[in-house]
Order: sequence, then structure tokens, then C-alpha cells
Amino acid sequence: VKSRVEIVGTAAVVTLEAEALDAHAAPVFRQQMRAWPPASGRVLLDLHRVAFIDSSGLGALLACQRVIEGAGGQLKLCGLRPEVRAALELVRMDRLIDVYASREEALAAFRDAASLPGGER
Amino acid sequence: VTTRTGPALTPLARALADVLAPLPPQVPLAVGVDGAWLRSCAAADGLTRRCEANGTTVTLHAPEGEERLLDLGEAFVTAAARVSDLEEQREGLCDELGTSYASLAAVFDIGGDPALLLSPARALAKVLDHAVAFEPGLQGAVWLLQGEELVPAQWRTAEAPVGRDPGHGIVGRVLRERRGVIANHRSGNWGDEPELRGARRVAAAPLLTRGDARGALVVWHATAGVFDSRLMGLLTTLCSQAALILEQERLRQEAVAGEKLRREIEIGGNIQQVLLLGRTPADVTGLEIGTVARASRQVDGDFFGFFHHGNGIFDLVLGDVMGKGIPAALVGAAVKSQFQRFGSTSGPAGRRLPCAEPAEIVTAVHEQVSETLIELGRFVTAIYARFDVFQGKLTYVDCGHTDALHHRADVDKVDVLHMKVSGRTNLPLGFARDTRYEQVVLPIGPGDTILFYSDGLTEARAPGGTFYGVDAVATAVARGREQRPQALVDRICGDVERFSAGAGIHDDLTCIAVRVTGTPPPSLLCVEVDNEPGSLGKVRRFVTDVCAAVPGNRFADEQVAELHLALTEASSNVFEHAYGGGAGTLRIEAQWNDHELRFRLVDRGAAFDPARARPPRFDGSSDGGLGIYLIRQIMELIDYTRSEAGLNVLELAKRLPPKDGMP
Repeated sequence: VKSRVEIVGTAAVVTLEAEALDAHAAPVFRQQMRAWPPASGRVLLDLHRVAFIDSSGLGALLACQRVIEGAGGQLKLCGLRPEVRAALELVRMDRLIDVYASREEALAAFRDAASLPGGER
Repeated sequence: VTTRTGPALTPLARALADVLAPLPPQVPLAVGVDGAWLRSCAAADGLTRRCEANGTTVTLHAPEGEERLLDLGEAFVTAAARVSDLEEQREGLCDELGTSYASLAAVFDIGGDPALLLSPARALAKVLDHAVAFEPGLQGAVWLLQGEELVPAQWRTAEAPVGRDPGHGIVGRVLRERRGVIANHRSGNWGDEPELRGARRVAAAPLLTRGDARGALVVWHATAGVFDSRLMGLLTTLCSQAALILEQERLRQEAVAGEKLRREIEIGGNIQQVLLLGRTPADVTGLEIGTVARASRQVDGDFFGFFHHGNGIFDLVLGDVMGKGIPAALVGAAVKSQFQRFGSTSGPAGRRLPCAEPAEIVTAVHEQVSETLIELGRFVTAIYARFDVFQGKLTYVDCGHTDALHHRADVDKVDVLHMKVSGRTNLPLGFARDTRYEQVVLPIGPGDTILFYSDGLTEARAPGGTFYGVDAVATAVARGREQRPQALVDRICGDVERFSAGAGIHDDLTCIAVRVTGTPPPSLLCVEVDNEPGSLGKVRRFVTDVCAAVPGNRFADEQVAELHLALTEASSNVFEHAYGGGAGTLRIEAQWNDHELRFRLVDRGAAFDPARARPPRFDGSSDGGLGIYLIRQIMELIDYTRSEAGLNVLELAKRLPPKDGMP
């Protein structure tokens, strides 16, 4: 599992370079997540390369959110493929994590201090 | 001479056709059932005789007027009646087995022990033990009719019951009506039978052989409660088992008495036909099979059996008991029943249980029988073979049996399958305790023929003393590559008989030819993956292949994605929980029809029922339990079984959307 981190304004945009976030890839992802700067800031996870996610991948996303929010930051997702989006919806995780259609929309939401959680807009 | 066979025949007629099959065509004897000739010959005057069997009238006609042929014909009819009775009992038994594991265990315990087959008293004791084990505090007895008196054969009560007139009481009613009786809510101190006076509930089932009540199995309890159909099911099964044992004992005693050679051949052929051999399977995916079993004068212990596992997997076992006569045949029957126990994958209610590897099956059978075989001073050579036509492989375990022959269609060459694993061959069953059996895998392809046979074939002698030999068999197989398997084995056995003409055949001739006919488009696919990085991706590619293979474009992309998810979850559960993260193999099979797609995941890890995982929380505080929740969202059926062989089997099924253009 590779990931690419770019800093855009005040947010860290992390692109996951993995085709699948499954039981074999998720533990590696959890390890890498610790190295993302800034731990207390805003993180946008771009999943457009991910074609498949399973419960361990979903679990890793939840863990990621806990770590970031625990440190006072925010996690948002963007670029979800329909299969990945469907998996999130199946376990109702789309209600727990903010999901945006594009990177631009997500970054705009970070900038907008009044942004409310609750999904795509 | 023409012979008629087919599904329209009554069980008796079918059995009669089987029994008549070995009779050479030139014998001038016609046999008719229900107004049609099973076996006819040129019409002429001569002698006609009619006889009754199982309510069917059989007409015998000897155009050349030979009385002794009519006697022979009558003996065939008697033999056929027994065969059809025993088959009917066996079928009833199988129906019964389908409903209850307790019955299954009991029957294997009783039917599988060769020593029990030779000792009816011990067998009846075991039958009763299984019956009273149904519930703590049960008492019971086995009664047998001897002449005009009802005699206790076995009992589990404080005091031995005494013999009595069979006309009275609950046992009397069971014998009269020839069906089981349950009496619950009795007030006690009631009835004709002294041992039942304190009983609050009683259940009894008749012991029927050839339609006649021979005795009864009775159990009772001194405290109030309810006996139900489960107990009756067990009692009925146990009674069929006991009846089979008594019937075999009767046949054995008749044979020991040895009044007439004809009779012995008849009894031997009967046991062999019913217990040791079976019908040649006709509808095996990708295979065509031919069998020949010619009984010698002395009954031999050759046996064979076939097990269908579905998925293009088919097993056969061919064995030969050292020694001759009825005892050898009974040992053969007992060993075969153990192969049936471990080799069969037919579970209750039409479910398929997973199949163990051939080497595991043979090792398990040997563990069961070796002690008794050593005690009896007998051993059994056998070959156990598994055809996997979709994977194009033959796996076999040779236990000191004659070498099978493999004609390879691609190179038109016959290989002698002399099995050696690290320089050693497997020992026959019953040679030594604690033997581990090894297996060998070979590729097979369309057009290949594999011939299995007993040593009666290669050790047939010409009048001058020379053996027929394996080379002659190999030549026959090579020459017969264009023939249907049945024609091939018929020709080989005919050839052997001509070769030893005059010298007499001393052994049974048993021969099975299996032709690989090709691999039809499967409605099944399977994959095996190891616990290693990338294996879950392999699982998903497999799911994609399956979705593409199901005809009619039944899956939209979202559905394929959902199936990816469900199967990935189930597979990572296996790797994580059943194998604890360590090494292990997972086999996934997919099978479908018009309405349903079903996946079976089979692994050899620790018992793990995914449905028992705790439910997930959706507040983000924990991410456990999501996997099974996802599977539940996607699949309509989740069914976990831990097999007796120590395999986890998880079945996941999904209803298919209607085909394009279907309403």
C-alpha cells in the first residue's frame, strides 16, 4: 500500500495508491496513517485509486478518523468509486465520515468553517 | 436371446434381471414377469412352470424340456426376491438415515464392525445399547420370535424378562400390526408385560425381515415424559439394522450347512450383489464407467463402491479380501461399509458434506478396521481413486492392490500405475496397525481410460499353467480404446475366460473401466487459495469469473461488487480466525442454476462459525463484527457446518435476478 501526501493550504491530501483496501492491505494502511502530517490538522483522503474495500478497510478508515478527531482534527473522504461508496453505505459509514464527490469540494468544505458534517453536497 | 432392462421394471423384476445377467445366453431358459419376457429364447414346446415371489408371478419356460433348468430358474427367482427385499430395506434405511445423525452413528457403529456381522448376539446387544442411550434412565429389551414363543434376546432391565406368548401386550400389538407403537402417559401397574408395569411411557418397533415380524425392540421409562417420532426413527433404523444382521446370519448358516452347491452360489451371489457390489453408475459428469463382476464358484470377497461428490468429483473403491467363502464376503461388506462412511459426502436433507482427501479416507477406514482384521487374520487389498474431471486429475491410493492401467489418449500409450511414494508402496488394510496411507496425483485428459481389476484377472491360468498376466490386460486396454467402457470390460473378461477355458476360473473376475469423456461446460467453478498477500485479490478475480460464467448476464456491476465484498469478508475470516493468521488453504466452489448462486468455502482450520461473531457498532467506537454484518446484508443464506472430518464449511447463497427478458 503506497500513499502520496500533499499539503494543500491547511489540509493534508492523502492519495491512497492501493487498488484494494482489504484484510491484507488494511494493517499496512493503519501503520502508515501514523506518519501523516499533521496529526492535529485536516486530512482529506482521496480514494479514487481504490477499487475495493472490505470491513477491515472500513475499520481502518474508522480508526483513522478516531485518531485524527481525537487530536482535534478532521477527516474527509473524496473520489470514492461506486463500489467503495456502496460498501460504506452498506454499513452506514457514510453517516459517520464526510464524503465529497471531488477533491475541490472537500477542500472548500475545510475552508468553510461553518461546514456541517453530513455528506456530499 | 434378448434381455430387457429399464426403469419400468418392478424391484423384483429388476433384481431378477440382475441375477440372470451372468447366465450365459446359450442356456435355453426363458423368464417372464408381468406378461413380458425378461429373458426369452426361440419359442418351442417344452416345460413351463409358474412361481410366486413378493406377490409377483414369474413364468419359467424351458423350450428343450429340461426340468433342472426350471429348478435353476426357481432358485434365481428366490435369490432375486432376497436381493430386492434387502435393497428395499437398504433404501428405507437410507431415507431414515437422512433424518437423524443419531441413527447414522448407530448404523455405522453396528454395520461397520466385521466382528459384529459374524456375531448376531453381540450385534443385537449393540443395537439395544444404542436404543437405551437415547435418554438417561431408559430400559429396554430385544425380543425374538422362536416358534410359538417370544424370547428375550437382550435386555437392559433390573430383572431378565421371561419368555411369553406373543399374542399379548404392546409387543404383541407391534408384531401383529408390524409397525411401531408409542404409549405415553401410562398410569403404571398396567398391562400384560411384567417388566412394563412400572413404565410411564413405552416405545416399541418391529424387527421385520422379508416382510415378516421376527421380533421387536422395546424401550421404556419409569418417569413421565413424551416419546416422539425422533425416538421412533432411531428404533426403526436400529430394527432394520438388526434385521439385516439376522438375515445375514440366516444366509450364513444356510451356507455353512452347505446343502447344495447351487444354493451356495445363489447365496454368495446374493450377498455379493447386494452388499459388495452395486449398480454401475450411469450419469457421472465427464466420465463413463463399465463394470464386470463374475462370481467364481467359491464366493470371494471382491467389492467395489462409487461415491458421487458433485463438482465433477467422483470416487471409486475396489477391494479384494484375502480368503474365500461367506466370511470373506462379510468382511468385504464390513470394510466397504467403512468406505461408505468415510467416503460418502451425502449429508442429511440432500446436503453435501465436504470430501476428505483419498489418503485421509483410506487412513480413517484402516484405523476403524485394522484391529478386527488383524484379529480375524485377514487382510484386504484395495485401490481408492478420485477423478476430478474439471481439474483433469486422478488421485489414488493403492493399498497393495493389483496395479491399475492408464491408457493415455494423447500419446496412445498404456501406463502401469505402480504406486510408490518415496520408494515404498502402501500395505494392504489389516497388515499392520498405525499405517498412514499416501496418495499419488496424475493428470488425466479426455479420451483416457483407466482400468481397475482384481487379481482374478491377471492370475487366471491357462490349462498349461501360464498366467494371463498384466501385459495381456494392457494390450486389451490399448486395443479397446475405441470401445465403450462396458464393451471393453466385457471383452476382457470374455478373453480371460477363453484363455483359462477348461482350467476353471478360481477367483472372482472383477474389472472396472473408467473413460474420461471430457469436461462439459461446468455449472461450477472452484479455486484454491493460500493465506498469503494477494490471495484475497485471487478470490475477487474468481468471483468475477463466476459472474461472467453464469449465463444470461445476470449481474450488474454493483452486484458483482457486492459479491466481491461478501466473499472477501468470508475468506479473510477463514484466514484470520480459522487459521489464526497462519498458513492454510481455502477452497471456494461456486455452483449455480437458474435461480441461485451458491458459494461453498471449505477450510481445515479451527472450528469457526462466523455467525457467532459479535454484532458491529456503528458509532465508530469499534470496527469489529462488520464483516459478518456485510455478508448478511449481501447474501440471503449463510450456513456454517463443522464436518465430522474436521473441516469448516460455509455456504453462502444469493438468489439470482431473473434472466434478461424473463418476467
